[in-house]
Amino acid sequence: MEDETILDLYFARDERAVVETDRKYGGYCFRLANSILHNDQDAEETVSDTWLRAWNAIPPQRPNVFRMFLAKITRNLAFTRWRSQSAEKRGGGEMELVLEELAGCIAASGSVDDRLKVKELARTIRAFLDTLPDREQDIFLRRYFFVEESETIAKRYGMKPAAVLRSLSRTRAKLKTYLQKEGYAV
Amino acid sequence: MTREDLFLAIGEASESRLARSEWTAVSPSQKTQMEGQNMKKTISFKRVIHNVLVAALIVSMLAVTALAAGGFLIFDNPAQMLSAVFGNETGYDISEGSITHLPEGESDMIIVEPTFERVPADETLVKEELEPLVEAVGQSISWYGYTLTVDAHIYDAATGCGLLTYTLENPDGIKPYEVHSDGEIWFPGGEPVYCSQSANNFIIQEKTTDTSLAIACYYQYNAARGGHLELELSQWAAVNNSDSERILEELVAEVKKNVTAEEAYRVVKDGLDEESFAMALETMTEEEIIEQGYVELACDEFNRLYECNDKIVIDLNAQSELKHVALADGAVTVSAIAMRIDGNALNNTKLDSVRIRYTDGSEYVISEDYTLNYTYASWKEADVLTISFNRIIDVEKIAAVIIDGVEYPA
Repeated sequence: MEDETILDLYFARDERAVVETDRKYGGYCFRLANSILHNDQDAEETVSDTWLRAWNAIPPQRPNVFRMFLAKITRNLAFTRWRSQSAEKRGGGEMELVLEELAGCIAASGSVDDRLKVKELARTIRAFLDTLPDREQDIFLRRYFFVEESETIAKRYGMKPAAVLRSLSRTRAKLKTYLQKEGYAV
Repeated sequence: MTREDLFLAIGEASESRLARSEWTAVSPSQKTQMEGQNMKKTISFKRVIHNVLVAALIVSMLAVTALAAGGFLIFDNPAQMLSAVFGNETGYDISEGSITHLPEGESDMIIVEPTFERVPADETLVKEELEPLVEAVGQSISWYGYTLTVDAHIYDAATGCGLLTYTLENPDGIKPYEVHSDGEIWFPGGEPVYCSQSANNFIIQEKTTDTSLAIACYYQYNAARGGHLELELSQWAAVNNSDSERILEELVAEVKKNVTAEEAYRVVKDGLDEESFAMALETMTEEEIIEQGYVELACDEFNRLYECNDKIVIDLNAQSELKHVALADGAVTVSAIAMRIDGNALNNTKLDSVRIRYTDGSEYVISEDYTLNYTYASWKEADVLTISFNRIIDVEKIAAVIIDGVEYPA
């Protein structure tokens, strides 16, 4: 079913909207949640929570790109769940690696003054992405939004994994410099 | 700011940009889109498949030859060029469009061929509006049998859009390429020409032969990528990406003969920041790190052998503006060849349907449902959409721009 038709169901408060969303994007959102949580049950619950959030958000929202609208909800929910888990349950996992990599772009510990709102930081990040060549942007987002492993990213774009790692390392260095210039403590 | 804050902030990237990252290296630029996305979203997803090189920054002017100033190579004069690339005799001028659904389970994608139609270029507009801004470039660089010659160029600073024409020649023939229904060209074996600004390339069929490919490149300027336009011959002019793995393996074998394990280990350690290397130690064995070092050295050698150091640089003249109109309190700017829409100013970041209505009542449907009458579109600063037209329009005859059903009168 086309996205616009599914969205029309949301606007009509027709519960078939959720059924169709699950049919079309259930697998996609599950994979994204599982890349963060590494647990099938937790990922399934996250997907269910995503449908509830979407139901409550639409209307009045009518997403620009429905798939990514859902991906953002799933990612946030999965990350919140991951944070609330005990260290033992989190395990090694890709999420911890992603955060460790991002830690290199910021100050080791932030003062109260450094605790900037996510929205303001988000605007900065969007502007930073715009400075990057298309492919470097893509690689960065596959890693730090979608939490994909470098081998997966490499296959996606027909690259060598080493090239992906170098691209990420280079981009993180650029991000660190960019954040410094924007007045963030790094 | 914590690392978690940064992770969450990255989650606020625009949906169109996130969706674009899902395109694979083997997908044609604008003709494959994700299932369920409204066709209108292809505005957000059109892009050129660029190779992933970081080209050497050494500019060797000796290898950049300048041809006689004032000469046009592909066409006899600017007017002829403009009429050809913006007119309706390109050989790819009209399409009813089609939609192909891939077998269930194969992927989430559908293949969409859009509907479009080109129109004749108005000779008066060509002569009076555009021709004065056309510059002859006439610069060439060569690499592994290929010669890239940038011929002519026109830039509109009002919308940040431009067009340049170039030829790619090789006496032994041009590597295989594909041409889409609207004339856009792409190379499955890797793009041999790299443009520093975002662009789509269209074949100039009447001027193309087996050994000389003529291209109209519609690009859009992004200040974040530098104040000029650069064109280079990429590593894919030298090799096919299908051969790159074999070549790399051979280079790794060669490197291992000349570099010790300790040296290879240091290559990885010195090439990563402290945190990244600490993470590498946690997830990789020493042997794996050494092997990666060999691969990195082989990659460096690969780049040394196959990356061209020369480039053609075109300064973009900020004074070069076509006549344009501003609508919606400046949120919409329209020139003869392009338009720029600030979605934030319009409180509309969807920008699905875009039409121009003329004073005689006729319309130019730029994007609506499965109709795409443009050559390239891109998002900048998250919610600013720039569209390069597939025709020349008379801005003085614009009555209104209609975006998602909302009319903005001129």
